[in-house]
Amino acid sequence: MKKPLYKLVICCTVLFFSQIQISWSQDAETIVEDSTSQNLISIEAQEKFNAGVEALESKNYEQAVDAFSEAITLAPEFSKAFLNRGYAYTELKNTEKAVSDFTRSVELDPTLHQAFFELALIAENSDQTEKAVEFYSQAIRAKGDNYKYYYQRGLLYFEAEDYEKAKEDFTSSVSLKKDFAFGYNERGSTNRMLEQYDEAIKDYQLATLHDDKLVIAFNNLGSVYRKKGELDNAIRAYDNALKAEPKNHLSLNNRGYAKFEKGNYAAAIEDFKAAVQIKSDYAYAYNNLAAAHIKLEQFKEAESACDKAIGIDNEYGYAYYNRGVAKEMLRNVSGACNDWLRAAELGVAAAQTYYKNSDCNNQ
Amino acid sequence: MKNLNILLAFLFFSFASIAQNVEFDKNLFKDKKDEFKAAVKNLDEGNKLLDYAPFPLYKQALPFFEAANEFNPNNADLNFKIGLCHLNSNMKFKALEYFEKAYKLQPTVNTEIQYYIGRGSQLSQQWDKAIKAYEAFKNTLNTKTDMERIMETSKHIEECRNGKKLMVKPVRVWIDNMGKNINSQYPEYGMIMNADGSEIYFTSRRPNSAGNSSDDFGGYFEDIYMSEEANKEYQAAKNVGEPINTKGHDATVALSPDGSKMLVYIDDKGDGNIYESVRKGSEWSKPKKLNSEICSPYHEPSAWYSPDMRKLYFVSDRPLSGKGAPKDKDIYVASWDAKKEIWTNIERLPETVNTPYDEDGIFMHPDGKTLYFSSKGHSTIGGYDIFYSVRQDDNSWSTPVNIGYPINTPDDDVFFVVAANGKDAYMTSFREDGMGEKDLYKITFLGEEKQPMLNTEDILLAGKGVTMREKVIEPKIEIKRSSLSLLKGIIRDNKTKAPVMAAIEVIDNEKNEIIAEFNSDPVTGKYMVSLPAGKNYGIAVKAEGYLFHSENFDIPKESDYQEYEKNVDLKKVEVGEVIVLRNIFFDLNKYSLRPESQNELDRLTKLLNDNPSIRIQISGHTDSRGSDSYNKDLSHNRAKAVVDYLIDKGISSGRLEYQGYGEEQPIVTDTEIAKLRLPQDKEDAHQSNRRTEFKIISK
Repeated sequence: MKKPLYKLVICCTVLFFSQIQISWSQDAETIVEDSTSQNLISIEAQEKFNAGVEALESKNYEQAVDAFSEAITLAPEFSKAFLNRGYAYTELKNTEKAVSDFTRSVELDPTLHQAFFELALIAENSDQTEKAVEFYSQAIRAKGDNYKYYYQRGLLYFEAEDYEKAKEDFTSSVSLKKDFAFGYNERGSTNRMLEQYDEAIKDYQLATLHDDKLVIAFNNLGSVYRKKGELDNAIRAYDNALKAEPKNHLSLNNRGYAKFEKGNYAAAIEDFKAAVQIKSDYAYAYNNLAAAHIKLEQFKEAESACDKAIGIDNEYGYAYYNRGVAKEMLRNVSGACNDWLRAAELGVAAAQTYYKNSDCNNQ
Repeated sequence: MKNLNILLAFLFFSFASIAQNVEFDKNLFKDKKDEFKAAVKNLDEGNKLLDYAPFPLYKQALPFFEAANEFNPNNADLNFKIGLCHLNSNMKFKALEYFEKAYKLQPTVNTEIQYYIGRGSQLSQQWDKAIKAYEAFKNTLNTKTDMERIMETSKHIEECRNGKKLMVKPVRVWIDNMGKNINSQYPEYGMIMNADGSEIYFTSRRPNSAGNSSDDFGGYFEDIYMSEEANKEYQAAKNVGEPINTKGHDATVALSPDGSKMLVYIDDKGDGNIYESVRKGSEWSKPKKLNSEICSPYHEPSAWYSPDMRKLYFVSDRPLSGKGAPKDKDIYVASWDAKKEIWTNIERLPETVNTPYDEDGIFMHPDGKTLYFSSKGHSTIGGYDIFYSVRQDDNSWSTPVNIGYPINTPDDDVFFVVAANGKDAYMTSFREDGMGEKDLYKITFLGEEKQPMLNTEDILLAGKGVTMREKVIEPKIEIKRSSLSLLKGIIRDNKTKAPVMAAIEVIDNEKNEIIAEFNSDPVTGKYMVSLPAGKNYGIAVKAEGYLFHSENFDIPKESDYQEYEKNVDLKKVEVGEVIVLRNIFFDLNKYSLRPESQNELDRLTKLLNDNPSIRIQISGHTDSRGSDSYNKDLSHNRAKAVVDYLIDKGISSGRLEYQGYGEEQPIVTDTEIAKLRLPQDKEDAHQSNRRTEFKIISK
């Protein structure tokens, strides 16, 4: 009687991607035929292995560990048993043993790309970026058509500010999965960091085309338009973000900023106020609210908004700077000087200049 | 029937809306005979004052006209005359409504009514209306016979166009009445100040003036008042009294930057001349007329010193040929001849500054370059406007710049002075919310608008879910820096603290050149001097019987206006006294003397020559950075280099000892330095620890 196919559950991957809110439902379960080693492994070992898989599926991780261990005892070179036990250890938060098993699995079978991927994730979670990049690269070498591997490595390159390499990986990712909205968004952000704003706009548009609920991409699109000075387009993009998620404080703050830059300070104030209604500890929006009040010469309101921003974050340099500007106009020069000095200490160059080049020095 | 009623109502309101001129005709006021008589009497009285020779007395005529107007408000001629009175008073902006009403009542009330509507509109800053009225008036003029009037009206049109432009971007200022300590219900004007604004003087026409009487126009005689600043407020003004104030008109003209000399204007029976008074302590000398090159037979109403007191800028209406009728007022400059002690070498400033119209009310800023003046020419928006022009390195003058609205108005704007900091200015103005008559106002320049800073953030990576704060590039900051600083202080005896009159030298260390020499006040010991930024200065203070004192400091080019207070306590030549030689310089980590040390070393040489019995120790000190042994060696070698110089200059080696103390004797300790907040303050503290000193070890 022919034995059932060996099953591998890539549950860790599912968990990881669920953390980053990507739907990987199509990859929730992968069935792998152990065509290479099947004939060398005893039936008993394979049975133990299958018992382990069942235990994994039913989230009985310790039982799974035991079953895979028995399989390994029976077949010490059973690479996939090591791989699956690695998954079980991962679930049991025993990273050391998980790493050991994943490592052993790829020693036995270098084509086990899933093990490289898991090793990469573990390295990434322990901030070993270079190591993680290397594992992703090995995963890619083992299986070059998996868009996720490019995507994950691309994220690491992005974070390491190696935008050219990140762009390459995100491009590979979206060419392997043409409707991959996240991939387009990330490439858009990479282009943005490379100051290739037109390409960024195209990517963000593709991201929103493939996922019209992807608020992040609408926001990013708006921000690139704003950088380009296309403020009406920016406001439209933020409008779309807010259509998808009306209570998104980032979109409100960003739209307020675009309106501010357009000179529509009253409308900007409305957005900043809405942002702090949603997120009452949002220091940026309070600070921006102050900035808009300053432009409208509503200095008391500006001072009060800065007070709130500073109350939330007492190391917020811009809020001290802006409060200094408001206080100066309220003719509280010594108060302004104190705020500029604090802002200067927090690295706001303009505050340092005003502190040095004003009446502050002659108080 | 209904239609007829509507028609009648329409006709009634149409007639009612067309105002009609109502003459002062007794037949029209039969039931108000007494009131009519009184109104006519007021009208006659007002007319008499308006026809008064040599000048119409507008201010005095106005109440009579207003009383008559209360009885009959619809007389075109009376409205016109009230408009004229306002136009020639402080309330110029009130003129327009009367001119407009006069025109409405009777468009032919005066052949120049459109001109006056133009004037009234201009003074009310209604530029378009003014231009329209001026154009209408111009169209009534004959291009052959009325050329002068056409040119005058065209100039007003140009002024209105300037006004429109200037009001688009008002200057960011605060304008504050200087308050009851300075202003009163009587006129105050012509404020002058020393460089740091600690003392101000101004002219006022108050009761209890030196003459305690009024002139032909009913105003009190002008006297000069002064106020001192304490706790950032000017104290109650005091009449400076004799000998500056006399029984006649005495008006402020200028004050030297250190406040030791004052120029006053004395009418001299219509000639109008500038006099100078000198102060010792708090006593002013009797004003002395400036020499005849300045005080010509013509009118000299305004003058100001250059900060180094080597130039005098003044205004005169003298003709270019020196003879004949006076011309329009222009600005001149004279140079001080120290040997003859007169102002000489008179030059008229170029056409860049002087126009075919009047210039007046000059003020030379303590930076020595920026000349503020009032002009009826250039891009004035009406009457005198205040302009500034900057003297360039090649001695040419920049194109004058209108200092802008709301400082300048369509009326006369004169008497404008700017503090050394370049941010505070003072002017004379008549404003409705003032204390009555002209008042002194403080203007605070706010500079370019300070741009607020905002933050945005985005989630750049959908797969990471981490917000990233957008890098914000801070906006460029427009800073109009004052290019100078003030050095001031008091020279005293270090033990008795009694003020000392000392000779002070300021040296440009880079050029190794003395750029200013002056004395502290013999009574108060005070001194003050303005210095351009971007240089390293040495200061040497010397007085008979005392050790010299030296200071060194930088005024960075990028720094804003600063006031440096250097009070110097001079030490007598006594054993044990230590003097820091702040103007001895070495290259970094070397012990060879830099050339700019020469002035200081020569002062030390002179001290040793003047006091042949004293023996001194030269000591070197470093800051605490670097190893102890390195610092000790360096300070030792530096002290030796000074001693070698002195020996080379003929001082016996037997009188000289030297010692290197390294970092052992800091002026500011490391603990104190650690408490300083700004890096520059820390660096300054280290700088003060790096020094060379000498100590008298025997006498």
